[in-house]
Amino acid sequence: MLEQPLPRRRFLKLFATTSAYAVSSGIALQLSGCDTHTPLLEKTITEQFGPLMVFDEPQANILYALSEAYISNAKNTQQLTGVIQRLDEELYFVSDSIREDFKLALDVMEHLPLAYGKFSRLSRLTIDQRRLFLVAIQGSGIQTIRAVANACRMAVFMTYYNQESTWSTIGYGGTFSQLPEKLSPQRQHYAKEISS
Amino acid sequence: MNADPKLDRIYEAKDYQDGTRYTTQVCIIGSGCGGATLAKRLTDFGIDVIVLEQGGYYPATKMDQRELNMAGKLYAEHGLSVASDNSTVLMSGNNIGGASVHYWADSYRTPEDKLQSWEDTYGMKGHTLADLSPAFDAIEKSLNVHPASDQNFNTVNQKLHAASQSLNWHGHRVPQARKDCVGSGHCMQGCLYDAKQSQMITHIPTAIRQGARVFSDAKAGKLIRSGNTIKQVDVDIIDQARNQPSGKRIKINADIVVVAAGGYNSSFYLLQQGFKKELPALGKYFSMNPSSMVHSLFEEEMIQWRNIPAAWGIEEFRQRRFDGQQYQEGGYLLMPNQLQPALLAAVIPGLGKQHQQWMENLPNLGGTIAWLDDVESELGEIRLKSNGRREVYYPYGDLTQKILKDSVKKQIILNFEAGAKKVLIAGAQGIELSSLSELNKLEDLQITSSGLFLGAPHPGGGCRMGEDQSNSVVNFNHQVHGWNNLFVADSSVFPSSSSLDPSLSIMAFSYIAADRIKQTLERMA
Repeated sequence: MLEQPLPRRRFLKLFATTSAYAVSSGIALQLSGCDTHTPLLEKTITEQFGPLMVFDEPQANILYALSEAYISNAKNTQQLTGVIQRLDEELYFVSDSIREDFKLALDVMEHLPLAYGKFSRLSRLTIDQRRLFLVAIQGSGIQTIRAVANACRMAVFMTYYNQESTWSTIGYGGTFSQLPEKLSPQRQHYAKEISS
Repeated sequence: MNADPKLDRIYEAKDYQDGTRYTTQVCIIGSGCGGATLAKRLTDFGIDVIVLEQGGYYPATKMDQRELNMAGKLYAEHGLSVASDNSTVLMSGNNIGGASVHYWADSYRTPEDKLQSWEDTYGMKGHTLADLSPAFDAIEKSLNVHPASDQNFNTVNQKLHAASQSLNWHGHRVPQARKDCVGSGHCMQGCLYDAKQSQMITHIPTAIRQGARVFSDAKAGKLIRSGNTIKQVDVDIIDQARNQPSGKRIKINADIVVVAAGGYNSSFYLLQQGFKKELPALGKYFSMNPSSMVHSLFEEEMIQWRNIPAAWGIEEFRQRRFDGQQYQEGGYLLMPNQLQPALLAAVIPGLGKQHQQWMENLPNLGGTIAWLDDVESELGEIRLKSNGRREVYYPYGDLTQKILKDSVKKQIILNFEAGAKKVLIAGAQGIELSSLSELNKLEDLQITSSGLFLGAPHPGGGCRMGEDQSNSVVNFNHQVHGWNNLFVADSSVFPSSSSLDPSLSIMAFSYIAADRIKQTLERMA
């Protein structure tokens, strides 16, 4: 989602700036009582889907942890893992810059709690702690943090509510035509790649 | 190899043989409003044309109205590309027919005040109201452009129509390029019913009937030059399944080459070709109609996702108002908004329960959008970065931010007047208002970098039209300064934003471009 890459030097600078901002704004204090937690997934993402094309296992786990925190009405794990698989598919076909920047955004999100004084990665916080943290940063005064946080948030919600299984919970009766899906050559190619 | 087969349909990757050389009078790069209209018009004159489109061909038989499926087929980068603020979503077409296949079908003539301003400020010639009017007449007729009818008004449109009248804000029925619309509400996913008069079902088939060859999956590569003449266009054939070059290449030899790749890509393509040194204005003066949004919750069902997106437009604030040097209000067009659930979910702020509550009220959600008329002194730039990537730089200057803030304020007023019980600003802060008395919440409104969730579907500029090579790229004949046979025909030639949806303006400009190209060919003969 980020057309501008975040090279390592810029990431470190952002990290330092964020830490200072978090301390001065009191966000670090709000989070200081948080305990750590390991997300509960009985099978790894790779075990469920086989290898993904874009995300590695840690990145898929970060995305799962984010989805779990953003979405409060998922009926089952499949609706959340569906987000990971569809984003993997979408990003497989876009330019390298968009793909790499999104993966970098995930890494930034994973380590951002450290900058706010919490000695834990995002994916190891409890769901409530993650939500608290994500709410705190979504309107951040630091523009890049705000943009990174919302890029992840928007991507997750867009793919989550693209799933037909979620529509009944929001009163959406489906497409006007009610036609079955017509897969593009790209989607067919991805399906082949993932199953090979 | 010199084979030159001629098909009476759109060419696809399987139709090309590696190394084939094609010859034509005019090679047009891009099949959107600019390129398709130009092809139609040139073939009206009996001129031989090849149109190159890097995207695929997705007619109604390949549509399924699913948001992400269709975004992958019809939008450049699947709709995931953003500007330099890392958040403004850039929307453009990547398919036969370009953005006209996924646009809202709003079909405005260029406002008279805008044309006058282009003439007065930028010395624009040959594109006055009088010059363009015959083209507007012809295009409106062929695309069945007509004001939205009563049956086009969904509940959101009805309520906002009534609200604007009660506020005494001047509005109008939005002119629509449609025939027998069924009101599916899937304009942004392409029209399954061929009701929307996109370029794919109008100017492209007409051009083909008149002899044009239209090549999909064909990405223009290097321009081969000889002196100040383009001799050849090298073309990479795209494997749509991988969205990568297939390795197959063809060559086009044309008397004239026209770049019509759209506002995001025409200047970028010329930058990639190394024209910046001789054309310092290349990429500059870029506009994109950034658009802010507000969601609103009503007691009754709105079903915003059905019928046409915007039947009613409010131009009360289209022009900026100043008190002396001090900005007061305005500089945007207000419209009802329409999004299907996935994209709507992305631009509803918040997370967890807050987000869930808004989504669970989806049938009762309405909302508005404001298309900002870019500030001439705060325009952006399309840049070629050292790593070869495109950068869409947009500065969001002080006045632009003030206008965006005012656009949010007016949308809030409008939605409450329409009967909304709650209003939610589409931005990272997730600001909710229960009444107009809470307008003070706008004081600390963040704008850039997801402060507001902004979209930008109307790019323009980057190849500005003008007389002087130091501050423009093409002359008033659409011809690139200093080049014998290179032209540009799309919104990138606009001196500044066209203020409203630019599709009809782009098409009318292509009519003028066609006349000039015809004259050039006659001189060459």
